[in-house]
Amino acid sequence: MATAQTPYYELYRRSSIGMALTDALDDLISEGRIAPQLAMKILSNFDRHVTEVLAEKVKANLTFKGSLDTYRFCDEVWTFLIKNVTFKFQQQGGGPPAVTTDKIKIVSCNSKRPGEA
Amino acid sequence: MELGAGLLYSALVAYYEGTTPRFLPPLAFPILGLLLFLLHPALEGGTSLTLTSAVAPRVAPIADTPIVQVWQQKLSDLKIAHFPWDPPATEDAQGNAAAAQARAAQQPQPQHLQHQQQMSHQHMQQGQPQIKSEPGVSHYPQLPQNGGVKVKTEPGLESQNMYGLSQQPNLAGNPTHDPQLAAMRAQQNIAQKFGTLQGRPAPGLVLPGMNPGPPPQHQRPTNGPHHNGIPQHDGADYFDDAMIPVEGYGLLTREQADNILLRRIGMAERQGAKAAEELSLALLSLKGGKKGKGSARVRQLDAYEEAHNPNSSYPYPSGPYLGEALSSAPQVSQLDGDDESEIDEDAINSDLDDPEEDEIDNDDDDEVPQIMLCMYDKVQRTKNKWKCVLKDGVLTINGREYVFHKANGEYEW
Repeated sequence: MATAQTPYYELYRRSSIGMALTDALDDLISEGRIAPQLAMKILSNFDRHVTEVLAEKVKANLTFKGSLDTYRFCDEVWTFLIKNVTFKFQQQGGGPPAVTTDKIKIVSCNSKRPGEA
Repeated sequence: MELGAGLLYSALVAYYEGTTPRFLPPLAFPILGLLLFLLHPALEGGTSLTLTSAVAPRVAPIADTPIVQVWQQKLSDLKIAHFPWDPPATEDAQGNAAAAQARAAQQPQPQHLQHQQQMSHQHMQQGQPQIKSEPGVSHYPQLPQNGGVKVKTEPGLESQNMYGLSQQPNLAGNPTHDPQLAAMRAQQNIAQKFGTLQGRPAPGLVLPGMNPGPPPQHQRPTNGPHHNGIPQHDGADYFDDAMIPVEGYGLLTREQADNILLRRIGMAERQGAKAAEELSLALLSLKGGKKGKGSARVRQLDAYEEAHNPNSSYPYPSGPYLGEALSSAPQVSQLDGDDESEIDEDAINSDLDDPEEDEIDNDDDDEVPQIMLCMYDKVQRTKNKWKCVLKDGVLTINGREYVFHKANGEYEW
């Protein structure tokens, strides 16, 4: 179980589901229907459960190849901008077909929290 | 709790997999489960994870909670997948808009607005000693009406002081400092000079800055029609091209109405300044001082007027007395604006300023950016070959969302 000492990354708030939640909370706050503190708690709940679900429930693997355009490593966060990427999905029973895009940004936090292990 | 939530989650996944909606990428199932998984314990309030339910006193069925409704709608708007709560494909957009409008209609009018309106009503009818300058009722620092009662301006409405500076010093430090006398004089003066001109009905609260125009726009109720059915909270709540009734002009667009209002405010302020000036001069002469002539003074252009005069050099000072000085003086170049021809001499102009570099920070403002959010286990580089092992990620690409447990990437720089 989570404690206050091990906060979770807020990284996934930028995903579409997180953005949708943030927008929804914003709306409710500006309508005065919830308190900002409640929104913060919901978001930290979100951080925690996204992390847990991704770690425990998701089994899919994928590989990708492309040409690296920009890389950056700052505050333990890798940021890559990759061009002409192809993603291949490996699932039991065959996953969806490969997906190609001309540009993708990857934001990646350290899987080992500082101080951990 | 974890067990219960996990069971719920599994049930959800099983359910969704059994009834695969057409547009849902297979990997998106956990996302859907996640949504309900996250909110179930908190909002149904039954189990031990009650961070949120402890704060929210009312326990509502999950589908009725505002957060879930709004969240679902936001997710649908992203069009990243077809969700179980969406109506069948073609009616998607309409359904959402209708639902949002219905919700918007139910929302009560914000309290402070009602309050403001009440206040302004009272103010207009009674003219009580405690005068507060309501938005639009007066944009002019009011003169005390009732025996030196302190007049407060609402915070945020004091911007007129910026250009009202020329008026204030006139009042301070001369006989008009006596509020009663000043108010009386001002009333007389204005009634004489402008009361008939503008056909204003009459006595009561007559102030120089009294704007004869229509009620100000920002008092319009905010629960009118909305864009896309989503309530807007950050600005004026009506279409830019909406027609606004303006007294004496019929229906106008917002821009035209703004111009008219600004002109009226400017006019009122000029009248106020003139009245104050004449009043001070008149008082001076009454006291046996020297005779002053109002016409001897050069009136400075009002800021509003300047801003609206296309020929003016606003925001630079202008006027007959400055014009000559300016024409002989070297032109001052603009340092803070959009002067394209200007070359910034302080720019470093290094390769690091390459605009392409900004791509990494700007997602082209797409509705749905192409982004992968994940954690890294290992990032390796040999010469220009990079290999990385990523895990627990969410990948948004080409309008679809995928989740993965592990990803191997190889790329060359």
